[in-house]
Amino acid sequence: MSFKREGDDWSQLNVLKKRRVGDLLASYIPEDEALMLRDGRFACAICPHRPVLDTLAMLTAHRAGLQLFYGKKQPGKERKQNPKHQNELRREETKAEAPLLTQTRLITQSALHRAPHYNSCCRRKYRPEAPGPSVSLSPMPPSEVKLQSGKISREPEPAAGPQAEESATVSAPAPMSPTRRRALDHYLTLRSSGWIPDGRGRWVKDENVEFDSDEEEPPDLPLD
Amino acid sequence: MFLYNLTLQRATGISFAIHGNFSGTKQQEIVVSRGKILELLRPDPNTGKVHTLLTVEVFGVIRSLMAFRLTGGTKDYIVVGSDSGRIVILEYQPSKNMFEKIHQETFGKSGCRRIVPGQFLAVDPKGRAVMISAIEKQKLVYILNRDAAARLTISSPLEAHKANTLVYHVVGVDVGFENPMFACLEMDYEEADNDPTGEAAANTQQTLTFYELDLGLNHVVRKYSEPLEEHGNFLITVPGGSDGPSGVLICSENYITYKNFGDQPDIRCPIPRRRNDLDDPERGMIFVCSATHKTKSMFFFLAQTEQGDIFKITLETDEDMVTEIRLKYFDTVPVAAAMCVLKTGFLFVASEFGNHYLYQIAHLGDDDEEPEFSSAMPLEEGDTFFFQPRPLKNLVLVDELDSLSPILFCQIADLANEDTPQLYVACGRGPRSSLRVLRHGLEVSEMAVSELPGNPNAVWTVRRHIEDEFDAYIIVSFVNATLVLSIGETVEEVTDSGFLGTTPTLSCSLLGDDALVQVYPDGIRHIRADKRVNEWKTPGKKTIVKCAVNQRQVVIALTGGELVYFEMDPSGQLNEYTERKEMSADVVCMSLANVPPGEQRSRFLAVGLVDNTVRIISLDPSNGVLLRTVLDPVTGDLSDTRTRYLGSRPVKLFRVRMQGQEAVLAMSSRSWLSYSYQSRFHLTPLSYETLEFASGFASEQCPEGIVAISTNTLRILALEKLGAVFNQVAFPLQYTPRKFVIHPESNNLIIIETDHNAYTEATKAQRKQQMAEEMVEAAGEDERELAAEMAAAFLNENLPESIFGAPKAGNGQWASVIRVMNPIQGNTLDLVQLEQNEAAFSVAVCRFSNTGEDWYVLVGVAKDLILNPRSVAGGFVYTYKLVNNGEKLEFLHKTPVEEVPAAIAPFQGRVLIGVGKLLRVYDLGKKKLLRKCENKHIANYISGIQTIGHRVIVSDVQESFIWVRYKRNENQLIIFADDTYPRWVTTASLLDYDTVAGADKFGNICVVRLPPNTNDEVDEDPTGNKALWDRGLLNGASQKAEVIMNYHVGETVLSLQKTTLIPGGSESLVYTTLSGGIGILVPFTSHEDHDFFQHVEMHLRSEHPPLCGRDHLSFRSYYFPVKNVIDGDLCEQFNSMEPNKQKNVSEELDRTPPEVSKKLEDIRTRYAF
Repeated sequence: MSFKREGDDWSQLNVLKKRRVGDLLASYIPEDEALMLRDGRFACAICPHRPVLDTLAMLTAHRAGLQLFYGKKQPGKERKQNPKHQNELRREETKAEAPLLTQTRLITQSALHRAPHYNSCCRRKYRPEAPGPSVSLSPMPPSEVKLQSGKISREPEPAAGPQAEESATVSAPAPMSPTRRRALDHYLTLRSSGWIPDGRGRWVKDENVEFDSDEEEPPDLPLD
Repeated sequence: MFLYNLTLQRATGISFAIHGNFSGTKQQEIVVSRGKILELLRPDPNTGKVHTLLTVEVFGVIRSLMAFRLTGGTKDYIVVGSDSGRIVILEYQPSKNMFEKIHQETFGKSGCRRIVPGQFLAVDPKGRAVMISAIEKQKLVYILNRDAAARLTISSPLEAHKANTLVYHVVGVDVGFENPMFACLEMDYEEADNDPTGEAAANTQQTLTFYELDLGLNHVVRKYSEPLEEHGNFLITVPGGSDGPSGVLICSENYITYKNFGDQPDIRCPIPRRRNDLDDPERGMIFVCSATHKTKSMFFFLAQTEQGDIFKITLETDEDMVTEIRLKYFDTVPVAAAMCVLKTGFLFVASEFGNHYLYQIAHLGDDDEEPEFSSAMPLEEGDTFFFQPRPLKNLVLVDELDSLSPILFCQIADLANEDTPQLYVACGRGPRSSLRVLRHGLEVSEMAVSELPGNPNAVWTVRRHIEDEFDAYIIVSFVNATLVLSIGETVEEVTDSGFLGTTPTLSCSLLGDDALVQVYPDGIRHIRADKRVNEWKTPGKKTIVKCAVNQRQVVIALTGGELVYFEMDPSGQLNEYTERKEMSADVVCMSLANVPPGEQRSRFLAVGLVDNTVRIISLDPSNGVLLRTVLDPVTGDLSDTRTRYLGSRPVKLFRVRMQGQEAVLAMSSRSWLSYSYQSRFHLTPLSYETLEFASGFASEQCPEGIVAISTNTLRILALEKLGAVFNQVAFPLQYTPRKFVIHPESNNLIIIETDHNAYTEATKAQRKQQMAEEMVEAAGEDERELAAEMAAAFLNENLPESIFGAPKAGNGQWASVIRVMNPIQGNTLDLVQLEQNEAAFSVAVCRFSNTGEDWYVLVGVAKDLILNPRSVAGGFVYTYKLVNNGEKLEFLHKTPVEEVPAAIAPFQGRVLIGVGKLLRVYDLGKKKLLRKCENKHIANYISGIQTIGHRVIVSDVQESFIWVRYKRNENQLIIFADDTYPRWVTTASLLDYDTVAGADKFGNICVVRLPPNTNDEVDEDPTGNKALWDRGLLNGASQKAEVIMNYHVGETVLSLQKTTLIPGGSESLVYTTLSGGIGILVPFTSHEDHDFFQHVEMHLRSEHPPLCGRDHLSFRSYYFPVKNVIDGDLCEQFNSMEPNKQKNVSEELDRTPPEVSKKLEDIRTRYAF
């Protein structure tokens, strides 16, 4: 079997070329505007209903439509969806002495920023859980503290989580107070042992998870 | 990443063994194949020790091996059938100690294929033809002959193909000098294949087919074919011509049958069975291997059953017609893969699993009370004979060859606090299993230890006459006295030797043919054979500080650095040379080489001075570094210096003899032996106490020993296992060890042992009781008492299972134990027997975050597992608490699961368990383990779990690795990457955060790595649309790992570990194989090194092609193209190449041959031994 192209169908070749160019241009999709899914598909993070798109080409097409829609009818709406972009924009605007220069810089930046071939829409520059070069097989990893503030009280929004988290960690790696840290740890412990917050401040059992027969209430936050 | 593969210990399991006069002398040798290694062994008829003469790696799979001898010849050749698609004939060249390829004929494609010959080999007993056969269809016959110069010739192949025919075994029939004939066990499946009802398949019979090579017509004909009643598994040739009745013995289930042409009726005899055997009586019994012994006057066969019982088979004849087969129980030895009876009366047993044995046949079993079974005895159909197994009676064990095969698991750690890590190896099968602790070093056997009156400072041995084989005296020097011991049957003190006893001795030696010389601080004493004594006294106040002596010369160094030289003249007189030489500084050491044969004197003296000026065996007396240099015999130049650190004390060197060659014993804080073995220079530490002084020793009991002193004891030692890298201590186990874990606090091992087709102790006792009761019940009224006695005897009988085998319980019967063992003493601290049919498959030791500091042991157990067709009733995870400082297991609870829990790994204060294809997180509950999270998307069956950070790397039994990420805040396990190749992973080891090394069941090792832009943070598809087209391409994850390295080892690898093997060495990846081999993969540190070795490998591939005809590159690329690995085993064959080829290759590399072999040695010593 060979993977050589057979025949001299130029239109087919052109289609392929266009797709290749499309794939390459797809790297202009900012990381936090799309989600990569386990099966290799993508979800658009701009639209509130998170449509799932099979390929990168389809995501690009979908985004083109968005730009058309937002660009023509509701200018600025797209940007407003994304607090990070808004911040950046604002930062740029405040010191905008030479508007043309700013504009070019912005363009170059976004071009250079996404320079590598688009592999994953939500590539992290910061990976808190990656340990150093040494391989440690210890069962207890360093405790993971990277939740967005105010998440405990609110019901966590499953899809908005990662981007919000990202912006929180990247923009403000603020030191946390010990109580906060404990509370966060406790939250994660409860979540990982199968308790789900019901949105009304109470915890309910996940039906797919097993519990001890006398375990009716989730353990309280340790006091020390 | 570029890696270099090095074998530390070659495979030890034997697949074939043949014997013959391969070196062309009277002495018989054994050639064994160890998978991809061909080895020549020589049992020493005097000592009964088996020595390895030559080991060659052939880089191919040896599938069959045969010895043959041309008519009238005295030398045996070796025919090898391999996966190369070629037949190869080898001859052993004793002068060069190598196998020489005489012929290599290509006939088919390479690889182990169904219809490409290579699987079976048969030779005509008169050495006129050889048949090589495939499993199916193809058979080729080559005619062997001599040309005018008496060289072996081989004809073009003659075909004897038959389509749709399976072959089970082929032998050459002994027909004397008639046309060569071959007998085949065949089965024609054509009809069965074309019959859709399956009726024909049920009725298809095996046939015995004879093929005749018509030497006149130069053609092979299928002469005769006959259907067989029983399904045969192998054939034995019966001597013919003038030696016997000819024909074949067919070994089949429960019967052995004699068949031949002509009027000969079939003679059939049942295979006797053990009396009161716990085995299922309905199960058939087969012979598994045989050996033939033939002399001019008689012949017999030894055949071994699958239980290990050997029967001596003899044939009764009446005018060349066989009338009777007689079987007599001979002895029971471990089940063998091959047996050889040697002319010197030895039986070599190459065990299927575990150590191999050499027995001496003490009796032929002719005149004892053992009953003899005969085909002439009337028996009803289906009935058989019974015998009582007993300990060895006819055989005497004389030597044991250590074999680790099969290695099922290995961990490397320094549990004994010895600064060098030990290898803890779980090996063996069934009741012959053991846990072996391997340490780098030569095993020392202590022949004698005796206490001395004080602390001696030196020891020598001397012979009485130059032609004596053995030493006559041991001379021990103390601070102010000398003790002379005479060697005879015992070693005892003598005073009439002529040695001066009242002074310390500096050196003593044999001088000339029969005189002795003793050098002591005040002079030299020359003792002639007739006990006349000549003395030379030192002048003035000077004393002798150092001396060097050989057969004819004596050189002494006086205080102040003055050298005095003596030489013996032809009359036996020791003459002083008047010219003395003043050295610039004090002499530290000096040495004289032996006088070269045919010369008067040795031309060089090596003197080491305080200021390090002249050295030959250069020895820096203060830092413990050994330098080995080569002294040019003509010019006296020193070259090719190799340095090794031996220990913290100054090094002393002693010349000893090992296997007929000179060797050097170097002593520092540890003793090392430097010797040349199979054209490789070895420097191996002795696994023994620190020694202070030593000397070679030869006596009748111990022809190549060492006499050494250590504090105030005199020891006589022997080093027998030269060439072995590891010395081993073995602790027996009950069943096949599957896995073990190390408890980090107490260093105890927790081992799971599981056997299929086995009874647990409880079931065994119960069955025994039941059988005893049946025995009593079956007896009539009057025999009751006798029966009760017999039953009691049966209950008390206790044959060790390690020799007699464990009873086979049948398919789907499992027995397991969990053992806590101290790895240093090897004592079992706790033993938990699981119930019948519970099979332990996984074990982990861990802590749970919700229970604090306690350690728990989790054991994954399958219940009622049937392997084929596969079915399982479920499984359990047993939870034990480790109490009493890690010595006892306290049962906590048992958690039922749906499938086999084949992998357990601690993970973030909980455990990950692979239950069949489900990956789950469990937490410790009060009554059972609590399932907290699950992933159902693993392809087939989880065979291993590795964790690092939030990443979990799951090995699937068939689909390579799958990277899973645990999301704590969503309590989900999400697959984010996998591999693109289907690998049947057996074991894996993490190399770093992104890289994992794995091995598969076909004998490949690979390293795969996630690309740097891999994204862990993938999400579950929120649409919940689980349609068929939704699962990604071929069930895969969207991100794929890259292959960093691929390599075919050639043996199934069952353990991988990244570790350092020597203190101060660099890290390497250590693997162990099922065949008992241990190897390492080491990274190159510089580009030049990699370049150099790549070129060495390239040149060796073309200049020194593998022996069995398989192409090296294609062998290493058997399943996946070899990538980024250089084969050190091939590179090290540089040392065994012929010198001119070595020169050519090294010239291509712009180096000299010693430089190349030094580089080869360097990379080995940098990482291992």
